[in-house]
Amino acid sequence: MPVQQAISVDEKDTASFLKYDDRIQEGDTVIVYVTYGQTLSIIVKRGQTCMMKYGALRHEFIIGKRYGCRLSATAGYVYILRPSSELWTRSLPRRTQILYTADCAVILQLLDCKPGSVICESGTGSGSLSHAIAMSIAPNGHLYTHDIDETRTKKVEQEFREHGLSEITTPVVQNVCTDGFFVTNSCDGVFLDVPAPWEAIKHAANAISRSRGGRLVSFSPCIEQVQRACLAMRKCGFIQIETIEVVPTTYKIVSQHRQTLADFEEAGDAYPKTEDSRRKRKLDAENGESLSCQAPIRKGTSIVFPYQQPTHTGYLTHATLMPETPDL
Amino acid sequence: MDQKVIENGEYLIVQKVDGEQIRVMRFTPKQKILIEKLKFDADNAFGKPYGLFEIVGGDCIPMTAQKLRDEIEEQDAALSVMSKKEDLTTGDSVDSSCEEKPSERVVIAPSALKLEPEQKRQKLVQDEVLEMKKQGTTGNELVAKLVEGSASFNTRTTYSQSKYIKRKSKKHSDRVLILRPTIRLLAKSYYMKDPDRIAMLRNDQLGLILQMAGIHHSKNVIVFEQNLGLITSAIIERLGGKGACIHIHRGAIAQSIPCVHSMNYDEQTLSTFLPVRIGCVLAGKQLPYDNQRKNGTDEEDLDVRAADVKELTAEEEEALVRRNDRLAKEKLAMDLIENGQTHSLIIGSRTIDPINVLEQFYHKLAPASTIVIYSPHLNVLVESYEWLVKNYAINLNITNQMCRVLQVLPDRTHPLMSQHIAGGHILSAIKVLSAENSS
Repeated sequence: MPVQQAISVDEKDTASFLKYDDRIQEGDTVIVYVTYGQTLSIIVKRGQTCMMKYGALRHEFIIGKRYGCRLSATAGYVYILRPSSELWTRSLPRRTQILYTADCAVILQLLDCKPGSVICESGTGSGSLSHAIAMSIAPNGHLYTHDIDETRTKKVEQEFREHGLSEITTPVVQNVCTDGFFVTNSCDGVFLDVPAPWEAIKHAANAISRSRGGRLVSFSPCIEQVQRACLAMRKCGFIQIETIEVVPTTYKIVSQHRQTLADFEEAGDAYPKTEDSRRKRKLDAENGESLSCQAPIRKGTSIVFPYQQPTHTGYLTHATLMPETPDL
Repeated sequence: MDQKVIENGEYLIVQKVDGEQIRVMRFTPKQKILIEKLKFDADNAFGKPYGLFEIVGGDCIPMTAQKLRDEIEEQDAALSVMSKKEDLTTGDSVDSSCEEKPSERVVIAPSALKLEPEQKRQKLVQDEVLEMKKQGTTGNELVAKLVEGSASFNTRTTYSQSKYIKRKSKKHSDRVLILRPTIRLLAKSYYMKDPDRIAMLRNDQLGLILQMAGIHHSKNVIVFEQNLGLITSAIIERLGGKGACIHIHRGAIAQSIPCVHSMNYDEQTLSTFLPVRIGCVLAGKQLPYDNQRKNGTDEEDLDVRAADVKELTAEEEEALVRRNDRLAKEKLAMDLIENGQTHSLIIGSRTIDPINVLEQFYHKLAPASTIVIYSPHLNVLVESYEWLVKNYAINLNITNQMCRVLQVLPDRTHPLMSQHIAGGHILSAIKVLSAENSS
C-alpha cells in the first residue's frame, strides 16, 4: 500500500467539490447513495469501512471507480456520487437546525451570488448554506461566515478544507449582533439567520461596500422578528424591502388504477395484483422512487408525497443598500 | 472590471420606488424614458452612478443612502410628534411601549363624506397638480399639498391616513431606480410583465434549477430552454468565465434570448456561451453554415460575394470573423458532448417534449451528472420521470413551490391578498451507471 498517498490525504487541500475527475481518488469526499432518504458523505480512505442500511462497504472498493458507479455492499448495492452542495445539504452531519435546498437556492438568488461576490453570513450553524454560498462565489469571491460557537466554526473550517473551499472562506467566531462583522465597507451581500436580526442590521449596513452597495437577506421563522427587522432596515437606509415565503411540495409518481363501473362491480377497489407488481412495489417502498407497471390499464400520475411535509421554515426578507455617492 | 457609471448604449433596469413595473431597456442618446407616468431623458443619466434618482423636471438627481436615512428620521420624528399631540388632546397617557406604533384614532369618517366623489373632497384641482409638477415640485412636497387640500384627511383614522399618504406617494413618486440588470431583477421583470413567455418561470424556481443542477464556476452544462434565455443567462453568470454553457438553439443563430443580451456580459464571461444549432444535434455532426431562414440579411451569401470581390469591406470581414468564432465555439461544444465531458443537462420546456431532448443528450452525459427539467405541465414531467427511471437515473424528485409576498407593517402583517402565483414543476435526477458498466 503506498504510504505516501496516505500522508498527502491529510495535508493537501483537495478541491473535491469543484473538480470533475472521472475516477475516485483516495482523499476525495464522495456521496454514498443508499436510498432516496439515506445519503452519506464520506472521505475515501484505505482501510476504512462505511456502514449503512445495506451493510458494510470497504473504501478500497471505491478507489479508482468512476463517479456514478454502482457498488455491492454486503447486503445490497449503493451508488457513489459526486459531491454537490445539494447532496451535501442532505448528508452533512447536523449540529444545528439547517437550511434546506429550497431555501438555500432562493437565498443565493436574492443575494445575487456569482463568482467573485463577497458575502458575509451569520450564523454558520452546520454549514449547509455556507457550502452553497461558497460554491457559487468560487473561485475569486469570498465568504465570511460568523458564529458565536467556536466548535461550529472549527468544524466548518475543517469541512471547507476537506472540500477544497478553504481559500475562499473565512469562518469567524463573532457575535454579529453586538460586535458587527469581520469586514466593513467591503461585501456585496449579507445573510442573517440570527434570533434578533434587528440588532445586526446596522452592522450589516456597515459591512456592505459603500461604493458598490449590496444586498441583505434575513431569514426568520417568526413574523415578529420580521416586523422588527423591517423597521430596522428602513432606518438604515435599505430600500426595496420585501418579505417572501417559499413552501415547496414534493410529489411521487404512482401508477393510477382507472376502473370502469363494471370493473368496480366485479372486484371493488382492490388492485389486481400480479406476482411481478407485488415484488416491484416492495422495491418501490425501499427506494422511495416508484415506477409504473407495464400493464396498459395503469398510467403514471403524480400525487403529493410524503403526506406530511414542511409548511413553514422561515420568512425571507431581502433589501438593497444603495452605494453612497457624493452629491452632484 | 465593474464599471460604476451609467453608459450610453447599456441595458438597464428601470423601476419606480414601490412601483409595479420593472423595465429592462437600453439607454441611447436622446431617448425618452417613460415608466409608470414618470418621464425623463436618458442623456441625463449618462455618467452618473447606478442607483436611486429623483426626477425633477426631466433631470435625474442622484439620491444617496444617507439622504434617505435623514429623510426617514425626519418623517419618524414628525410622526411621533403628531401621535404625542394626539395623545395629549385625547387625554391618553403616553405609554412608552406604544411609541413605535401610531395610536389608533377611533373617529370614523362620516358617511356623507364617503358619498362624495374624491375630487370634491380635494381642494387641489388636477391642473394645479400638473402645474406644480412642471415647476419641479418634488413628490414629497406634492403629497404634503394634497394632504393639506384633502377635506377628509383629518377625519380619517391614523391607519387610514398613512394608507392615504402611501397611495398618494406611490402615485406621485418621482423616485426611480436605475440599476445594472441582475438575474433576479430580469426574472422578476419578465415574470410580472408576461409570465407566459418565460413559461411562468419564477426567480425562486430558477434558483432551485441552478441549485439542483449544481451550477458553479468551470462546470460544463448543456441547456435547452424556452424561457427567453433566462436559464442560459443565469448559467453563464454562475460559470463566471470558465466552463461551458452549451445552448441548444433553433435556426442559424441563437435568438429570442433577451435575458442573455441585457446582462451586459463582458467578453470573458460570455466566452462560456457556446450555442449549438438543433440541426447539428439532429444530424449528429457539425453542418456547414446555412442561413436560410433570414434571406438577404447580414451574413447571407458572404462566401459568394467573397469570391466575387477580392476585397471584403470591413463590415463583411467582421461578420465573417463573428461567424467563424461561432462555428469554432459550436465545434468545441459538440466535442465536449461527444467526449462525455458534460456534467449537467437542464431543460426549460414550454412546448417541447423533454423526452426528445433527453434522448439526444442523456446517454452522452458523464456518469453522476445532474438532470433538471422545468415545465409548467406536471404530466410532461411524469413521463420524463418514467423515462429516466428506465435509463438508470436515481435521486428522482418532482417538486413545485409556493412563493408568496407578505405585507409587513406594525400590527398589520399578512400575505398579500392576491398575487402572481403561476409557476411550474421541477424534476431533478442524477444519472448513474448500470451494474454492467460499473465494473
